[in-house]
Amino acid sequence: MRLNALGKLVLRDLVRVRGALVTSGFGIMAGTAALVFFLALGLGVREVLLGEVFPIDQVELEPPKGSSFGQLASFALGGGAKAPRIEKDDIEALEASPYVAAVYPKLQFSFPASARGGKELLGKDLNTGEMIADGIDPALVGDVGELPFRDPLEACEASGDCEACATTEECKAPRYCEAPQGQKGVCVDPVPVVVSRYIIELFDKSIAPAHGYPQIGEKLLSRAEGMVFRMWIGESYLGQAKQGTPRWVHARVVGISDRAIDIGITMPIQSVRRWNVEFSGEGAGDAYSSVMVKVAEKDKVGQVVELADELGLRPKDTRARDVSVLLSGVMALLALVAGIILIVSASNIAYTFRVLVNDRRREIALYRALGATGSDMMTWLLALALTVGMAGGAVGVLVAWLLSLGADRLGATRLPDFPFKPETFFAFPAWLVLGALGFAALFSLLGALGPARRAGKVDPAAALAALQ
Amino acid sequence: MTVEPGEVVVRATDIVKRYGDGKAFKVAVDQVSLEVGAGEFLAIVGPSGCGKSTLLGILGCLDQSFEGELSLFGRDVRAMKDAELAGLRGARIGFVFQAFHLLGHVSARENVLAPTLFVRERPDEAKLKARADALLEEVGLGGRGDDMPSTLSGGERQRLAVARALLLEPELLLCDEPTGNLDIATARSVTELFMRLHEERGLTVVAVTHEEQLAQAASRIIRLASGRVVEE
Repeated sequence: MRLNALGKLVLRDLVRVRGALVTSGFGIMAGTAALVFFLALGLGVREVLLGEVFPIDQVELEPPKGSSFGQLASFALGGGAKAPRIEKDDIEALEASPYVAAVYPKLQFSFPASARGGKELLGKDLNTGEMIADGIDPALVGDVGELPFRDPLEACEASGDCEACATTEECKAPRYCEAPQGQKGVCVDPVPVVVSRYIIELFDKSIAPAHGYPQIGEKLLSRAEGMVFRMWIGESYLGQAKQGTPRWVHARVVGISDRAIDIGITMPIQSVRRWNVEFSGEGAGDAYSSVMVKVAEKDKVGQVVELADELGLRPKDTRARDVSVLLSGVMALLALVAGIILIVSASNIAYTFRVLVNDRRREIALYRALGATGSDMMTWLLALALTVGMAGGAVGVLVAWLLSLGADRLGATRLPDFPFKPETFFAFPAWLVLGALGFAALFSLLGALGPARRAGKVDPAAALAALQ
Repeated sequence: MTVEPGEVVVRATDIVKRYGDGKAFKVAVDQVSLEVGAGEFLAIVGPSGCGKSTLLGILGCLDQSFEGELSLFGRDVRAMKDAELAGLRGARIGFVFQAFHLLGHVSARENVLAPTLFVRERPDEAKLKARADALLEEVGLGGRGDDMPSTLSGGERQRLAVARALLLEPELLLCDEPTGNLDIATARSVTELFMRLHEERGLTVVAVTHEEQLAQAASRIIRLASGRVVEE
């Protein structure tokens, strides 16, 4: 049948039986709206959780922790309890994997440290009794603001502009004298550090309101020069390093980075390596505590984890995977509900079209007499169902989008602030919209398939004779 | 592919049509053989229930479940597929029914144009609309093209059905009790219309009827009784 003739027949039917078709289309609309709304909600929440809270394009691997018994025995035999480390060979094996985009080893502080500062932003200095810090390759962090994320001693040596000093008082603030206590060193800029959005959110939404401090997130993002604070390295409230003399160093927050550890600060690995050697000996300079692996594609995390398992490494944090699994489960459940609505809609369409075919036996027979084939009649009914389904689906997508706007508005005005509260809880990728329209069309066609087949098999002689 | 004068348009041999199966069957058409030549006006007459309409349905390829042999325009219809049969019906056969079978939801002109919906090649729509109006004029419905079928009288409806049957210039017109639902005066005018179409166009007409008036207008009459040809 020609397309324009088919269009003419369908258009006539849309006018003739609009009441029944609107009822059928309403079911499809409701099902599609529910499907799109729930999936968009799931995708939106997943985007926030996996994109910002638990980034999934990177996986941090660490060696398995030694058993308490083994560590105790080693300590009792005088060997000391050495933390497991990642070998250079393992790092090279990871780098060679096609699923891995980049590998960035991490060094933890192997010595105690504490910090004091924040007056310029908060009005008074804060003390941390214990400072947790990681050293990471600056290339992993990249540019986070106007100030570079680079080891200051390395920068000073590269530029050749190194001013000798014995104490920090000899350096122009906020520079400090980088050298072990009692030795000659050079004046360097504060060590740049990056922090996670998580810790900023935690401070802004939990600590700041409790203590009456201003929120710092936006300020940190907008200020060219971040907050400078002092770190006391080699000693904390809990204890002192086994070698070296504790001393003050200066650090400056240069920005927020997804690569930063959740709780604590992250700085260039060269700074940490130097201080580890100073306070824990030569071996602590390349005792990598973990390795950050940037995955080539988000869906290849599983393969990277398998490779890590072969190397005796395991993911440090499985929250992303857990959240992903949980979200997938919830989304599947909600999609199932929407699917049931669509199935009910399809049965409604089946009923409507069955009645339609029964009522139109004479008309169908006449069309057969005028030159229509059985498949022409089937095509006619299916095209009508497709039109109803697509129209219902399109309205359903629109309804879901409008509902999402309403839900976002309610969320913005009625929900209290919480960490990572997004501007929208929904995501509408093109594939979701197209997929929903496809499902609407599919269920409509499935509903109409039986009646359409019956239309194609109407016996024209019998149908015309019965009404003589 | 037009039919030449004298050529056999319909050749039916030993046509049998049964309804039902097993022991509970009824023979509606029993061993009927006939031929219709080009330009012939054949009337098939007989009492109600004698199998006239069933035979016409078979001759028009509307009913494929029969025994025997049937060829139309020299082609064996049993060997034709659904699409070929549909094409044959649409292009070379016109139907007129007792109950008119008009489309109630579209205008008279759209009813006449209905066969164009199933033409495989894209038709010249302007030309067909002009032809539809000319046919309406020819059957006495000039100026009524925009009227809905419900506003037409019985005779006008049958004339509209005839115009529809003639749109694609068929070579064979099959009429099933075309005057059966009409009063005597209207039936006469419709009969005259068929005679005129037959004479002026040289149209091959097979009309099933129990109306003597229409039968007398035919060039040949076949009489059926209990599904069998009893007089020819």
